[in-house]
Amino acid sequence: MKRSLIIALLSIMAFPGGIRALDYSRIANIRFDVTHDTNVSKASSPSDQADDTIAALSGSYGRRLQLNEADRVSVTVDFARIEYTEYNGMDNTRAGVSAAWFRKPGLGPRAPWLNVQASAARLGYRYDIWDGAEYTAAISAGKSFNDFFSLSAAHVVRDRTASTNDVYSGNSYTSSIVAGFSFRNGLRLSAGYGLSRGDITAHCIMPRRPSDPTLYEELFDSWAYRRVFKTQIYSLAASYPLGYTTTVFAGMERMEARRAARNYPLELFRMGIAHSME
Amino acid sequence: MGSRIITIIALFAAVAVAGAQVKGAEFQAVVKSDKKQVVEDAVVALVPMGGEIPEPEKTLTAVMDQVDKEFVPRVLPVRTGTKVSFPNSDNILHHVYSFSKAKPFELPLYKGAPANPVVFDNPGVVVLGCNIHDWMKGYIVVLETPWFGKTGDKGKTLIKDVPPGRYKIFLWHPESASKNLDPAGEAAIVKDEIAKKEYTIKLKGGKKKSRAPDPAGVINY
Repeated sequence: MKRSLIIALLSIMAFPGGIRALDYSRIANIRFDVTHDTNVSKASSPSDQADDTIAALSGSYGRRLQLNEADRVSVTVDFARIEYTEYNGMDNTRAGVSAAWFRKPGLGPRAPWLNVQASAARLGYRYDIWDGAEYTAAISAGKSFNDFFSLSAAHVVRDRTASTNDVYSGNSYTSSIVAGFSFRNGLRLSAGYGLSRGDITAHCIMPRRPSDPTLYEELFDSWAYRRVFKTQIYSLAASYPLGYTTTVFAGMERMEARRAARNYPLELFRMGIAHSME
Repeated sequence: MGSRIITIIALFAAVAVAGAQVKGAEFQAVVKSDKKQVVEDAVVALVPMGGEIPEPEKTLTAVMDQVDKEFVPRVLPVRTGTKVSFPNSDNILHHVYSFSKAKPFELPLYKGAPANPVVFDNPGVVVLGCNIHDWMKGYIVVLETPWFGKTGDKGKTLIKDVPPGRYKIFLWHPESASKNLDPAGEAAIVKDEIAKKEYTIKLKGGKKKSRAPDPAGVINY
């Protein structure tokens, strides 16, 4: 049901029939980042936890349609290649499409904005039990209060379907708020908090509950099982412009997924570079 | 014959004197930052102390273009009353606006050249933006005095035809974070001489906003 709604939203925004665009412009972005994940296996017990360093190259190419002074729609083709240093079975390629409707009814950078986005991607893994598709819908809004301080909030619905099993399928709902602080020299710091409820595929040596979708996974030499978790997400990030079209960034996220009395902690340390060819 | 030659010489002399009176002297300013680096795009203005400022011509025009999603030039000093046109040399739409007190205005989505120029009739710094491309920022510095210049990449500007006398010097730069021109001292302009001065302006930084998407600070879980 959620997936159908996301696909419908994506179709409406990608093919805005009846809407005459005043203008078209190109979107072309590329990004490379390296992330250290302290709990790739999403395990609760420290002995089951595995960490890894992940390199990701991603890009998007498409068109932005200016509908009027306040509204624009963008449609992009997205691509990502993700490689794990240790757990190569998780190496994957993502290819998909995204569409977004952006509305800023006021004038200038301090006017509040609203963004509705939908995307669909095919995921192909080296270890093919993870192969599948991912559908995402997001609504976000934000405002800059002055040259230095901005706030944004987002709600993301994610639906993931594994091709061959139920363990890696699932969905989640994440609400988040991010505060941004910009300095005169271009440095931007941000702090965010998010709350997510949804399916996570976790791992353990022994399966916890036979009723959960479970399968044995060779990669981590343990059992994978899917459960609904409540996850708190804390993020800190910094970015700095290099010239007009390139940004370097670094940051960390701490996620605390809880189920009953068990905690599934995860930390991500990330740094990377993003370049725009617009 | 002799009287005709004298008349011709007298006429040449009169024209030369008149020309000298109109031309006046030159003022050369070099602007450096507090870190001793030369500063490009600094506006230097001379305001006569006690002297009168001539009325601006009604035909003053200037151009603030938009090229590759940037304002060109980034800083445009003009005299009050100047008609500034805002052609869009890109093949996409721009939406130029300013909230500045000296000249609030808006040129909604357009390509090519707008029908009418914008007249800048009040002195002050006018900050320009584009509502589609938030990183675009330009500045029009509107001055009552006709004696002003903008520094080039070597931090230097030469202001010509300045009548002799004493002047107050004013400076401005986008990164000085000042909404108006700041006084920078005085200078004496002497006929047939080039007055050379060096000024230091304190810059508070202000890198241009990157066009690249900012992945930091997005929770995408």
